[in-house]
Amino acid sequence: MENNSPDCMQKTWIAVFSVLALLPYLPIPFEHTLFNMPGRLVYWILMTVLCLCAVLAFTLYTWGDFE
Amino acid sequence: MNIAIWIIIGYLILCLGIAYYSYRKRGNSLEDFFLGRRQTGAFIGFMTFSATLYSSFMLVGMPGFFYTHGIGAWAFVMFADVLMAVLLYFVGRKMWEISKEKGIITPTEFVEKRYNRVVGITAVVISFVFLLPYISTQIIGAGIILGSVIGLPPLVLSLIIAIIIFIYSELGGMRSVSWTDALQGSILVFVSLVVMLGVISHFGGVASMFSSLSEQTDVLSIPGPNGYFTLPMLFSFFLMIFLMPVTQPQLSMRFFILKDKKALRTMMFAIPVFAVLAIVPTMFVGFGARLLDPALASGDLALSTVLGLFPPVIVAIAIVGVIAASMSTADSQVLALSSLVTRDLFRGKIRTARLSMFIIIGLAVLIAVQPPKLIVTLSILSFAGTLQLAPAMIGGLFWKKGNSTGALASMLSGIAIMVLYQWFWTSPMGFHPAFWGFIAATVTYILGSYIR
Repeated sequence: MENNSPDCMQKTWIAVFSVLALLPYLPIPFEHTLFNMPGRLVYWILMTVLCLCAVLAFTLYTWGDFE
Repeated sequence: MNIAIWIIIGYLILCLGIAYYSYRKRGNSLEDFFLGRRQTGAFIGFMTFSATLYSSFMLVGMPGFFYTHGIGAWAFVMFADVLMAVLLYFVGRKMWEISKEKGIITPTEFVEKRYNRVVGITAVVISFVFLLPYISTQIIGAGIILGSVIGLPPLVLSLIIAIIIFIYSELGGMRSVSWTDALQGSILVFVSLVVMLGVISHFGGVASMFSSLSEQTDVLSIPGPNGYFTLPMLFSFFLMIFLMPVTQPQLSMRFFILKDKKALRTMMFAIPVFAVLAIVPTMFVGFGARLLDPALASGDLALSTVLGLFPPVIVAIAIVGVIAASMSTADSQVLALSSLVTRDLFRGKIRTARLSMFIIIGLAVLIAVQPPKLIVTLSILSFAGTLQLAPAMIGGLFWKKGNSTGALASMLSGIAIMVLYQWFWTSPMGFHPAFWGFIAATVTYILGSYIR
């Protein structure tokens, strides 16, 4: 069965998403509150928005690969 | 008969109606039965993927996690589900191509073709062992929640749910399951959003709600009141859930059913949006219950506690939502396990598929006779066990040197290490036992492939 390793650009995206996957689980101090939510939750909400933006950017970038 | 029962009956009849409609379009080949002739479009593909991913755990277990363990529950599933979309590009696209080209119906069939029959059967056995209890918990969950309205014993109601799942899966196979999933997924999101808005409104807004919660500082910090959600533990869960489309056959098969790759592209952004719409409400439900009654016997009661704020119609729809979430996951798992048994174990035809579905549902009901205390526990073990298939699956797709020795060693060592850390040793550094199993599975896959 044929195997294809990811190309250079795909490896870059994998690196970006690996960092994004790790960031929420690092003990990064974040004290800002929003609607009385604690800092950690606000950090996670911001990270969720960032992940959604990254996925959207990735979808648009790889648009042609699905043709 | 009260309105709740009528709404539930109406929902179940609708499911059977969809199944009958899809039955009229059904052919007799295994590909038709298990993959709906690979003709599923983007919308149904996305809905069936999401509905299969989100079981009753999302409406019952997740609020329970927020209630019991606090804000850590956000990172328990959110990032895994949002970033899961990336797998659709790297893994889904490739699996779709291979499946179409080689006529592959099940993910373990891919494992067998890529490695050998022994590795394929090992993957089937692992999937079976870790998914069957999960099916059972879904059926029990639906029976318990239905019992709170109808007043019959949960086991009897679980049996009724199992029979309905059997009928509509049997009638239309994948086509029926994916169409009913679309209905069930829509109900799940609708219920989640309605309950969330109701809870926020009851407590006078988000800021007011969190202000009221501020005295309960333990739920607003990690690792939470019981010290469970440490960052290493949360990362372990991330791995287990993120890789589910690779490791759990009912999700992998959602790649095979699509009519073209463009559907995957639509799913890539729709799945994370669905995840946010489904997960965020569970936080408000869990915290709402915490404010209403901080001394519940179990976190699983969080949803029913919050539903006390709503009129009977909303309560009935919410109950339908929980049943729908259970059924949409259980039916897909039954169909996936049946495909594994039919295609990979016995090389059977449609008759084997029907018989195996009957036996699988029967076994799930038998397990339900001795129901587990917490729905979540078995669900998590299911993710943990199947995670050990990930290195062999991913390596099989992307690494030419990966071979059957490495794949078999990987699956067996992963399961062995996970079991040892789960039941006999203490898992180091605060990670879940499944994490160390996954590390062992990855290392042995590489070493095993290089040795031979």
